[in-house]
Amino acid sequence: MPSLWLIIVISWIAQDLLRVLITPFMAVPDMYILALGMLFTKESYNKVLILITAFIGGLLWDVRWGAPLGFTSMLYVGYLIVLKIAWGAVSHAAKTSALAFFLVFLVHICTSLIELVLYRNTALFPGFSFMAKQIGALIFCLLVHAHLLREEMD
Amino acid sequence: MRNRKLAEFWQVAIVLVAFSMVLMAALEYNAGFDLKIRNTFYKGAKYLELPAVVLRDAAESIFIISKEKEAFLEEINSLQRENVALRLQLNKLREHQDEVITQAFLPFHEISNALVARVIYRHPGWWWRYMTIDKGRKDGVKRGMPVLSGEDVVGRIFLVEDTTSVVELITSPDLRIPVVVDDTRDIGVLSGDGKGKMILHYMPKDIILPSDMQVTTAFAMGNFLPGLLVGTIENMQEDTSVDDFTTYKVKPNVNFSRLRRVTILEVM
Repeated sequence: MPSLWLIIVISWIAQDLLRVLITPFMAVPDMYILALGMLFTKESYNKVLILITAFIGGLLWDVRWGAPLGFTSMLYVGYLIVLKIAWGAVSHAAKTSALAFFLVFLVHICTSLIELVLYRNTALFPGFSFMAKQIGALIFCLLVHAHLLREEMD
Repeated sequence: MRNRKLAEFWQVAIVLVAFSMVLMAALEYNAGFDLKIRNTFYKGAKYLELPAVVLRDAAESIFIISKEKEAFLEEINSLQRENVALRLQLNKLREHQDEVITQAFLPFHEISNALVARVIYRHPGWWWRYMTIDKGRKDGVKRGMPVLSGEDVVGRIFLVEDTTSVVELITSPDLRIPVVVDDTRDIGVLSGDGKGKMILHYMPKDIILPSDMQVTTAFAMGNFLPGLLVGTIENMQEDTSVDDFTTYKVKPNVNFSRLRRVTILEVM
């Protein structure tokens, strides 16, 4: 099982580097919160710890990328709250990794929409930027999902 | 146990959301403290982001080079179009210049009527013999009329049709004109060699004429007037001497390769 801290650090740095690389052409998928979301659906991880990690990661993101301090951290915590509610509403038998993948991605779309409404952070057409972000998120979710699935199989 | 964990989760979640809101409200955006935190964090993060920055700069430079190349090609296309337009304009100006020169050098205004005509055809097989102009019987053209370009003799009207005429050129071997060498006043007969030059016959053998001497029409023969410029002597033809006379090669004054307009001279 991969270390929680390793996943957190790698996903945050990857998101940051990607942001440096493609700004201002398109928005970056929130890989950090997607990774945390995927871990959040696993029973083995401490949910409170993930919540605090999401808050700290969001706060650092705000510090680095100029959003009002607390904005992204609140968005990330809100993301996990919504995921918790959605995941809690699913029966124990239906809690598969495929559904987790679907929920994580769905909640990412919702938070991206909120972000899009609140402020537009790309120079290009917002529809294109939004779509690119979702495609990136989908690819990332698939990769994490495949990784977790392999671990389960092993 | 499960309920305790759930309650703990919600408590932490509410605290974190509330704390985020307090942060947003308490810290004025871009205030001194806010900027200080951001700058400090950026100083550490910029080393971490260095590979991405380098990669982005490289991609941007490739993109810019591609853009510059595109702009360069577009500029070449634009210049080529401009070049073609200027060539067309130059041709029009040349034609206009020819017309002006033809009008300006119309000789013998007092005694003749001049008719300006355009060269419309030159048969490749008769290149140095005949050419067709766009004036004919309806314009008052008659057989034998002298045809000039400026002050220089081009030939004479050979065949007249309703709207066109055929001009027999001075370079044609069939056309013979009595001429005089301006400086020596030697009189001879000029005929074309069929190859773009002319031959001056019956020149005295004892006096060698230097090159560049002007040759002009000698008499008012037919419709020709005396004193019209024909050409300049180039050189003597060694092996054509007969008795006391010799022949010279004469270069026409008219540039037949660029002849577009001519003047038909009608002697009153």
